[in-house]
Amino acid sequence: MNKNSNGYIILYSVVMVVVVAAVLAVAAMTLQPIQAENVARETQGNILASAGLSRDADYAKVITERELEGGLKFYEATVEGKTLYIIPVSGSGLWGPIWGYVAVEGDWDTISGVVFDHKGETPGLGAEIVGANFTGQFVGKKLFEGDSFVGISVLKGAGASAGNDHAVDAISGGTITSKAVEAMIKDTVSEYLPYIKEHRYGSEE
Amino acid sequence: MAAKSKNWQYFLGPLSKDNPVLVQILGICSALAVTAQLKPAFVMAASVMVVTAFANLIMSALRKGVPGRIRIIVQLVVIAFLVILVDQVLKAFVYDVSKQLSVYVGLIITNCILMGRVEAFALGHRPWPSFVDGLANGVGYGIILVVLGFVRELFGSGSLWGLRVIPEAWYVHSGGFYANNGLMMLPPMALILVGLIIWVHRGSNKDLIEK
Repeated sequence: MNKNSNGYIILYSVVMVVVVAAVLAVAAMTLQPIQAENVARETQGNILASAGLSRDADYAKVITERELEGGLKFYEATVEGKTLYIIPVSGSGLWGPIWGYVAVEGDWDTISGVVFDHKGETPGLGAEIVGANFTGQFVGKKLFEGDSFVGISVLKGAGASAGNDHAVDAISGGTITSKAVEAMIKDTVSEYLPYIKEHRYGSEE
Repeated sequence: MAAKSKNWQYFLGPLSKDNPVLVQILGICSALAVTAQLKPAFVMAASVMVVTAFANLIMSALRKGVPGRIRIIVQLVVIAFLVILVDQVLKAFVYDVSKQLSVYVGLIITNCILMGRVEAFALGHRPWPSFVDGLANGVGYGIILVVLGFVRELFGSGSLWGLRVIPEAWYVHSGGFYANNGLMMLPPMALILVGLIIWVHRGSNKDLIEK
């Protein structure tokens, strides 16, 4: 058979593509449930971790998912008798999306814990936003100054945020990602402000 | 026996004298990108090994039937097929590492080692030697990745495989004398390290030095 005839080439391509597509489709469908479970487990682990719990804690038992009008979601957790509200935040970092969970106490003001994650920030620099050195700084910081929402600023220089209730130290070499975290919290939490302002002082119901 | 020792040579060549990274200067891009830590470097090395070995094996098995005019396209389909498969498996079984590797697994497709070996070796050799050649090139690439990952993680983060090696108490911020070398975490340092390895490698293999 002439291997360079058009008929042979077309037949060869068609068979090749169909075989490859079939094998890949089977592989993708077989692995899909495991992958989906990985993603779900990670999300739940992040939410639990932001509330200061173990990633393996019983998600369904501790966390209640709540949805506001307009589709905004947040999570409610009861930890040692205290109610925490967990706000999912998302934004864009240097190379791709960044996201996280900010847990605030019943006053919707004091941060009790945060978890950040990212798609592809620079390892060792921007990617350090997931590390405890960075996230640990958020504990006890406040989102509000009196009645007005200020968010959390990210400041340059070690110790620059000392004594400041609304700031943390940035990551050196990860300025753009650090600034993205600041913008992410400001932007996302702003969307919840109407609800938060309504419930801030009446949350002890 | 003769065939066996020839396969052995196919295997040993790419490890040193014909190393894809050090001598052929292929696959540099990903060698810089994924080696900031040891674990992703290792997983990347293993993935490339699997893809080079099986791409060579499949292309060699197909070599007699492949129409010459669409040869390159067929090679690309085979390589892309394997890379997607590896990506899916990583996402299912080592999810955290696959997140760190992000786009670089997909970019294995464009790794010059693959097309290079398929085109230069697999199309002209029988499946088993081709498999050995592919595997050896993957291993040759992998060794460099792991060495880079080892050095960069040790000096850049003070840890290995995510475990702390340099004691916390040595660090300046806890009253010690030591600080991580931030440059290690950046791709340029990986290039410098590759350069140093090439220097040492050529120093000890005089026949590799160009006139």
